[in-house]
Amino acid sequence: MRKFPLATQEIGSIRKPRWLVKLLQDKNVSDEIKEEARSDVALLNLKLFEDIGLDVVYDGEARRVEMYEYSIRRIQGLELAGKIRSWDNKYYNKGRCIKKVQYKGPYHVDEFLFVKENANKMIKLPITGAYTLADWSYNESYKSKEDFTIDLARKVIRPLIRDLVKTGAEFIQIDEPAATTHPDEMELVVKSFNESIKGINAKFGIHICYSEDYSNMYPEVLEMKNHQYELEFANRDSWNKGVNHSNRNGFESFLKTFREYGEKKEIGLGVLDVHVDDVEPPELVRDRILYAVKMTDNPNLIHVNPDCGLRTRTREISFSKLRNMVTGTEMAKKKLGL
Amino acid sequence: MINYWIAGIYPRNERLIESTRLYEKTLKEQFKKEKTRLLTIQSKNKFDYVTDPLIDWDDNMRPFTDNLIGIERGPLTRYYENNTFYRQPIITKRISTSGKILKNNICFNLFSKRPMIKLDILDPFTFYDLSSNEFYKSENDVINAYAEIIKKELNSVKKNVKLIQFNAPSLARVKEKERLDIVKKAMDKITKQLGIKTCLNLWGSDISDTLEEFQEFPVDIIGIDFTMSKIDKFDRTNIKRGLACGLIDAKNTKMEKTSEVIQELKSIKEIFNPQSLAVIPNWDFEFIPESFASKKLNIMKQIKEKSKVIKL
Repeated sequence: MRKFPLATQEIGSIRKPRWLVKLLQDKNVSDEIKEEARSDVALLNLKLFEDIGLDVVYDGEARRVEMYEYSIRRIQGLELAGKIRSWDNKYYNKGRCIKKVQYKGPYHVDEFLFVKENANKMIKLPITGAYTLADWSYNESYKSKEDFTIDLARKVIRPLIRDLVKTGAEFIQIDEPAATTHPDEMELVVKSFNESIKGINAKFGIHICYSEDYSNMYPEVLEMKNHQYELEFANRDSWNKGVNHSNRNGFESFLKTFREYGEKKEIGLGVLDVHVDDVEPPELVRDRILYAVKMTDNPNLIHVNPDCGLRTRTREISFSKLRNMVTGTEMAKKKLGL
Repeated sequence: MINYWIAGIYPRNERLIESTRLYEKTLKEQFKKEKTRLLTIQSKNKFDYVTDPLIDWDDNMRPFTDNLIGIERGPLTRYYENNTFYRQPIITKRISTSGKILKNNICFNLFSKRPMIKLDILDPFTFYDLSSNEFYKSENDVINAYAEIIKKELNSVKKNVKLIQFNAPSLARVKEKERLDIVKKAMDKITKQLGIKTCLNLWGSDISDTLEEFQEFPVDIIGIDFTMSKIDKFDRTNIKRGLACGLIDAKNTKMEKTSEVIQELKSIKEIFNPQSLAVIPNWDFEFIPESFASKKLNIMKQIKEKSKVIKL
């Protein structure tokens, strides 16, 4: 696999422009025009990412309502139950499993083909993983969570990935934000990930965020057949510049564990906090990267991204953050002589 | 006879969710109207205790996080194993309270006359566990500091209240006797001279191996989450107090069968020989959509009615 030191990438979603949301809500607008508008925004996002200078791109999930709900609506056996609080006044539509799950057909192929046709950079396609779909849904049908999760992995996610790879997807990020929610279920997370990609040849990342401590994933995660971890760190890190442990308290624990286990997988390093409007200065991004390189002793292992999807920030703030991320990465590369 | 009541934060209905998202000007009025509706439902259906549904609280800690002196609002943090996050309180200085946080954040003015009001608050260990401490030297110090806060807060509202329920999901996870002893002492401080019935609600964990320790706690009722603590894991015992049974799963939309819950209540009665028996949800109902919570309230009502008929 080609090494790409300090490649910059986004994680997934970016906020939809207000005009698009309004148009999508308008009952008098035809489905055809709505689809055209989604394509326009997908293209706009893609080109903005490329212009900013990201090395790995997608479409900001312009066609998806939300990473979880979009999938729930497209899997047989699942249906939406209603809205549940995520935090404060933010809610998400939670699904319920009312009968055994089945694959209804590919649900990201069209958007991927659109991106593939229009992208000039490497593509990373995000999809929601089996464990998170199960963990975030009410299980009314299976005897156990394990049965539910593994059925999703085998009967839905694996055929989906197979279809995506058939159409040309080379790098797939499996979003598992729930992966570390129950530390004692790490084995199930690993099993469902491996079942999802079994027999399929592509590069696979796993995106996990808002874990208490990523070190808890070890040693089970060593068995996971992913090539990259895309993780949130900035949310828990200080805003002080510097590459000492005390300044980089948000990164220290995982990177130490990563090093102790002699890991050789890539890390998608979360250097932007997606829950605050403050824009990280490039120097802070630079130091976060330099610290990770210092801890892993290998810039080839470090890719650079926001903590998570940026959909909770305005587009202006999101793009400012991404611009500084690219600038900070360039500064780090310069410092490292890359 | 079986008692019943709800606990914690009740889910907002779809209209309120939309209004809070848009920060509508009429929001305060809408909260008041919905709270009144939910209080009326509890009263009309003869809930043994009537509880503020706390639909205007953004999380179980927030009024304290925002109003305690010595605390700053921290990062969004996962609330146990849920896909729900709260703002973590960061203790930066010695903590203190005006004693008016509960007074200002519980809708005492909306309850009907002479109601059996139940007030929910976290126990001092759960307060400690959900906070980040940058000031106190030890766990013991933080727990005791929170105990002082809780005591002062409860004293300022106790004349209005008939039952205080300490929701204790973090405490329910504790297995070490020494730690439980620290919390027990803190609870002693809180409940001494309180003069009100209390319930320690051990949400979210299997406590079958620590029940003996919890029986030493100075409370009148113990709440057990029987979706986590399986009945067959308990030895026959005389619990010597009331038992609030978390048999209504507030984290799953699957509806309980009245007959099955009644059967479980019968077994529980036999095993624990409690002084009183109540059926409650095993967590805040806010983990299921409002339409499902409403159906579960009906199931609780049916259980209560059926239990009267069979003289459980």
